[in-house]
Amino acid sequence: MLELKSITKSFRDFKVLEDINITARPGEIYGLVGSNGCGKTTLLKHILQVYRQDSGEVYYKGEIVKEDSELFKDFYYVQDDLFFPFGSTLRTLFEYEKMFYENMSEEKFNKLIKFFSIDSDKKLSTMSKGQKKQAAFVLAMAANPKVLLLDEIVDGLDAVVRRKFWNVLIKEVQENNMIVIISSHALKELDNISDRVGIMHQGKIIKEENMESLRDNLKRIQFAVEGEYEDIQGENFKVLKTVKIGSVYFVTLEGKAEEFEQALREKYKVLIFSELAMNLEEIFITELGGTGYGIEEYDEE
Amino acid sequence: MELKNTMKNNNLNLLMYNLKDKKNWFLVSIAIMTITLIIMPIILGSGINQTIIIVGILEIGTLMFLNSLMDSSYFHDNRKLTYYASKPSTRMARINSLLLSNMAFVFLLLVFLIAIGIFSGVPFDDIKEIFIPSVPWLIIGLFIIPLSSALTGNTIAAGVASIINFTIPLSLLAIIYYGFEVVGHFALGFNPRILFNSFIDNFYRMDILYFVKYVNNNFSWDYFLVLAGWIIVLYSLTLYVVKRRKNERTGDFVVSDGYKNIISILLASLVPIGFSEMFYNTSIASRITSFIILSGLTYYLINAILEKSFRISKYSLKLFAVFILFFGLFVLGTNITAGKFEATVPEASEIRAVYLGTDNYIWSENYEETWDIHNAKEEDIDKSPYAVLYKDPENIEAIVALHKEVIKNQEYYNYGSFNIVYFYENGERLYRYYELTQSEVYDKAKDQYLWKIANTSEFKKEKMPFIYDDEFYKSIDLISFNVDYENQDKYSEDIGINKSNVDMNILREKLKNDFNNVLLRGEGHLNYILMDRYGYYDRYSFDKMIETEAVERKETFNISINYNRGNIKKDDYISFRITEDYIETFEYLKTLKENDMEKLDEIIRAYSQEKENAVDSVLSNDSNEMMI
Repeated sequence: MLELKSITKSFRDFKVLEDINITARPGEIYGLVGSNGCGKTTLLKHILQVYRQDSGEVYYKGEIVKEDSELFKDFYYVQDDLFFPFGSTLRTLFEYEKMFYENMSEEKFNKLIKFFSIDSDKKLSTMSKGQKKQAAFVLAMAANPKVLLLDEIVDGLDAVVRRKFWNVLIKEVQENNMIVIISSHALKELDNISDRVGIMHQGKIIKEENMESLRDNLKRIQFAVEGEYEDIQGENFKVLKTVKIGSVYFVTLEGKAEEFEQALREKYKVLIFSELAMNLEEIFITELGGTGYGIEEYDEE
Repeated sequence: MELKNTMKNNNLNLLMYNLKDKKNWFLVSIAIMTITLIIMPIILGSGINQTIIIVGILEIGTLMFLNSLMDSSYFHDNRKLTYYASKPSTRMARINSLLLSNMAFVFLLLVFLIAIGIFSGVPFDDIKEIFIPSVPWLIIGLFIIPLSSALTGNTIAAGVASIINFTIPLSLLAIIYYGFEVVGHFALGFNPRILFNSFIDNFYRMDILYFVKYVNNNFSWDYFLVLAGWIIVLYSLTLYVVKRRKNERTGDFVVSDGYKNIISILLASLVPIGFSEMFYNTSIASRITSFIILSGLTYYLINAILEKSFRISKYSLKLFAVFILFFGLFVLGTNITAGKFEATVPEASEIRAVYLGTDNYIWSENYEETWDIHNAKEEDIDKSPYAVLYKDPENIEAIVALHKEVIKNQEYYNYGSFNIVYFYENGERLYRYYELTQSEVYDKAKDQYLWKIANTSEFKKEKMPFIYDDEFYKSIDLISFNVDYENQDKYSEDIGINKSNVDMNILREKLKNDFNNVLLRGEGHLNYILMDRYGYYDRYSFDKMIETEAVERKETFNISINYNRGNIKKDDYISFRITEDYIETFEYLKTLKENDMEKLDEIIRAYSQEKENAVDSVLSNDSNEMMI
């Protein structure tokens, strides 16, 4: 298990991470999502101890992760802004990285370059952004890490390659009991593959939950009542947002939908009532909206 | 344990990988050296000599600098840094691999350079002479570059920082010198140069730090110990800095706050010190004020550059305030401490002997050695030619009185500096150095003591032994004796007067009478009386200096004498400028020039008569004493 406990970091006077607590379990994909500049990459670099936290600790297998720790043999990081040593090809880089990762598998490497149709002898500097991402992903998978940190890995990839990516990743996680943390803005795709999600905003984790409970907790209700609807309150639910389109109301709700329905029916004559599924993107927007992020309307004075 | 072994093996592999990576650099370097050190000298016909070896060392230094800087540049690119830092390899392993691969690179190039030298016939000792200081410089450079790279956030800044770091001991030396100058200003009687020299001779051994001391010396373990010391300090410092490095600041000029402060304060000290030479003749108060203003300005600019902002942080302001406070305390402390010592003037009765002179060093009797006057032994001063060690109580009293006068007032009509070294009866010594500031007023307050000393036989015998010391005169062999005549139009000619046609006894007698008269008149300033190496008082130079009427050129005889003293290898040389002020000598030489035999006979007769009278006088005094 990989745990981040109370990680705090300031860049001079600017607090970039504040009391970050995260738990990622083996065999799970952890989706790290957040607003732009919220500190996702910074957080990943703290896990690797490229940056050192001002306070708090990173734990892996119950041990504190420190710079130069041998625990890093289990870690592999694919950064958003990729770097490859000067003049290297995927093949030479594989040979180079073999020095660091004892589980580096040539068989898997060959299988993956074939699967992604990559020329392993082509200089990496001449490859397109998408090809570079694939190359980096191939190396990461071939290293057989126990902890895989992926920063914006599908950024710049076409839909077909993305699907290949997720297929490989899901298979590897299941087979090798890997911990995967993916930082991404591709929320729809993360929605399908993530077991657990952490939502970041302004250096804080504002929500961290399993996808299931996240979906259970946040709901969207569509209803129509006789007369004008005014927001109602209940002990076990909280109306986060109400939008009226024509005569139909859409309510974003936190808590129990049944109790909201009951309270609604007690107060109004309900003409239509149905519960809609919320995806990660909607949950994300709702959560960030709760912090006041992105709620401005363009024409609003 | 197993994991650790794996890491060790990885590190070895990493080193091998880096070495392989150096192959192209090495081949390019060999090509550059072959062209510039072998082919070019052959084409130009200059041949391969010691200079080529020096050029070779410079080339290796430059190649090493660029190579090491490029290898360390992963500190300056966030992508690279993250890539390497995310790999399961330790920081130490990365640094070790970088250092070892560059060491191997430099070592091979040095071997190639030695081979060029030896095959071209450059003596091995010449190569060794160049290698002794330069190889440690290269090694230190190899360690300084990764350290500087870790301290900075971009590669250009790392290059500049490497040069700054390499010269930090020198920069500190400049600051220390300035400190001693301040001490010298406040502490009347203390010579900043001597304090500084004593400091660098005894404590701050730059020659050892930069390995220059070992160039002409034989093999010494110190050499390797100092090099090992440098390596240990730099390596430990590098690991410490890398461990504490704030990687998130990559891209800034300097990533370490501590180093930023060191650089700011260092430059804020050095820049005003550099400018201080411009204000050398101004008062100490003006110099300190200008130091503070320039220091503040430099500090602000350095901060603005390093922080990329014209706003200065409160912390930086506090740091500068602390620096200025420290500087102020140093100045104040120096002033107070100096005040306790500067008024010390010994009682004449406590003194056994005293030296008074302008030179900062004296020659040994045989001119083979020199000693700094501040720590020269009493007997060495006594034996040194022209340096006078005064033992006559009256002279000691005059010197003590002069010393008191100088403490009261350091103004003089001619700029000058002089040293006093007292030797106490109890074996202690006291050294003082004074610089006199130039004044327009022709004040004879200090001269009265000097002329008193100048008219004593102790002074005359020591300063002008050719004239006044018969024992000395008997002990020398005259090698040459020439007289040039110079007319009012400065036209000079040899007038054929030499040791065969001049009566040295008459000449010495005439010189003695003239010098007695000149010295009795008590004209001429301190420098010409106190200068050790020019013992014979030069009236003309003095006249010119104070621009009296006598500056008008008259007929002059220039006497040049070369002589040898017994077993002393080096010949001695003295000269006299005889103007009409030296009445008797002038007349004698003019007679010789004009070959006026009648007058010459008269002079010889007068001299013989004078001698006879002197003998009679001595005899009659003796008989009177006997009768009594």
